[in-house]
Amino acid sequence: MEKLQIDLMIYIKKIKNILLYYDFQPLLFFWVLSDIFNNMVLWSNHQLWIDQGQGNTYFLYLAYLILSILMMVFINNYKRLSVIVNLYLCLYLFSTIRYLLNIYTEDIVFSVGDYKNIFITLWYSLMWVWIAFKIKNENLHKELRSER
Amino acid sequence: MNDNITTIIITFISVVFGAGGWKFYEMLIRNKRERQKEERSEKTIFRDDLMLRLDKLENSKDDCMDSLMDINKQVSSLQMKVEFLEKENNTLKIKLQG
Repeated sequence: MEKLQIDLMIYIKKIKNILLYYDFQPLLFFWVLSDIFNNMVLWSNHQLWIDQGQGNTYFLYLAYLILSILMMVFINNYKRLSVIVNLYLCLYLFSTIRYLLNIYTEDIVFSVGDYKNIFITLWYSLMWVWIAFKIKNENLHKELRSER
Repeated sequence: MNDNITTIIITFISVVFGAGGWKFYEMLIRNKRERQKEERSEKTIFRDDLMLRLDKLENSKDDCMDSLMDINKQVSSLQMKVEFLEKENNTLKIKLQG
């Protein structure tokens, strides 16, 4: 039992080290690429969204697409990437808050699926916050090193 | 429409708080780096002082060696003189007794 506890502690420490010290660019590369391919702008048109009464959502997806493409273009330029990721994060926060407000203001009984959706949305928000923090942190340390 | 404004306001507040949190974190990191820099500069001052002292001691050691050589020479010459004088003294004593 004690060994299991120690192993678990070591595992958690390793996860912490991975999150703190390992590079995130490969993750960003594959994630953004899949984001681009999954973007609804590529697989639908504006009229389809207007018919569903969500004409603005199309533009939200369009903004995601533009930012994702910009992220791919500037993946090796830290300063610009930092700005784009921050914009993406703002957009993601906006859509997350909009989603949470929607389900909060609608008078519905929550099902397990709703909880799952909320959890996944918040989890992705956390991921983007972490990526934005990593980029800004790396930029800050680079700046401090150059000041030396 | 009302929901959209609420969303924008909440997003704005989140962004402002996020930016504030980041600024605070940046300040902590900068202060930490400044402290490290100061410690490093203190260590450098101490090292430079030690190097200066070492240089000074080495120079003084060379001077001491030179002066020791001089003294050695003088002692050798004096020893020779004493030996000669002792011999002369002995010779004179023998002459007086005779």
